[in-house]
Amino acid sequence: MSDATHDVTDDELEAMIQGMARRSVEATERRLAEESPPPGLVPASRRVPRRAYVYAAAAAAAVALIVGFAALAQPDDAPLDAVASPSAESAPTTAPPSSVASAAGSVEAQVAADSVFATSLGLTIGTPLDDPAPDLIPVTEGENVLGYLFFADQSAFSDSRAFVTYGPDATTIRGVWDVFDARFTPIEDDPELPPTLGGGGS
Amino acid sequence: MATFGDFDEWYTRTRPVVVSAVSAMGAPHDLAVDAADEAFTRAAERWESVSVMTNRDGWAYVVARRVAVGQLRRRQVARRKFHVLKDSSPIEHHDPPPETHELRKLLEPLTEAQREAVVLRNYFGMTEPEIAEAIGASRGTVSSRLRSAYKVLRDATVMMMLLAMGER
Repeated sequence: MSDATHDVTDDELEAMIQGMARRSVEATERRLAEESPPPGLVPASRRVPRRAYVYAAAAAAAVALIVGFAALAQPDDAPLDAVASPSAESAPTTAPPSSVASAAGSVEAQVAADSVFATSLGLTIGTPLDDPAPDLIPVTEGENVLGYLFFADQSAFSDSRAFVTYGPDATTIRGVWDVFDARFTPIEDDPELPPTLGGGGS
Repeated sequence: MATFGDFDEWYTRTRPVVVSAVSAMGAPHDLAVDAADEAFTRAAERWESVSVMTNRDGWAYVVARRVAVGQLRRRQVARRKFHVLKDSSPIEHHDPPPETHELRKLLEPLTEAQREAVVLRNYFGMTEPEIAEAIGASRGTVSSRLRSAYKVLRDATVMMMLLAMGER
């Protein structure tokens, strides 16, 4: 056995794995091409190239920002500077502009408004509001799920967390619902959130 | 200045690699595709900053992997919450291409951390410092993980060779 062991060096092993990885990538490329047929193979009305999805998402994000800022520009009792500044002490108690969006009756506007609110707190929404996961969150009547949020610098990246807000007349973020552990933590008790967001962390 | 033409080239070249790598780590193919697309969407949204990263391939992989892990957790939670899904799950778990499955089997004896180091090294051709930067570990840790992974794989490979010789 020892002779055979000496036959395989790290370099040879790495070359073997790299060859397998290359074949894996080539096979994946073929699979992806099959899943997104080139133009002409399917009716144009049914064609949704992956790249278009990426561009559309980028464009939607830009539109969301514009729509959201327009919503913020509406007359509102909430102090604008508190919404605009992530470091403002009053930021965590500022309502998301969901009420404006809800009044418009548009899911897109709601997402856009919530995106701006999240951005103002230094967060980004990672999951759209129409994702099935919020169905797992026990939200009482009148509350909204803001969405899965990520810290903009990814320092506290987590896919299992959602911020729950009050509904149209909201003035505060209520807390964090952890989907994975099925556990709700009031925002003031959350050690991972910095105090500027109302949390107990540093 | 970064342009979307740069993004297009990077996306076309890197997307299959990220999908394969996330899949080799154990994610179902459909989930790996969705996670990679989510990572590239985030990259497009922040292209100004992502385009100047020294190791943007590593960034895309790490984001895609985290998204995939999160989605897997949520699928597990969904199954726990809705027991009926256990027997007749509408969630499709597409198998990866056989070539990816073969590599996944080879890497099976490794710990998750070892597997990740091997995947980044061999799928993306990253150096040890680049792997360390991508996963937020020290260079020494990465070096140690690679060495121990190769030892496990070498022993497993030798065992396979001996078994193959014995069957002749």
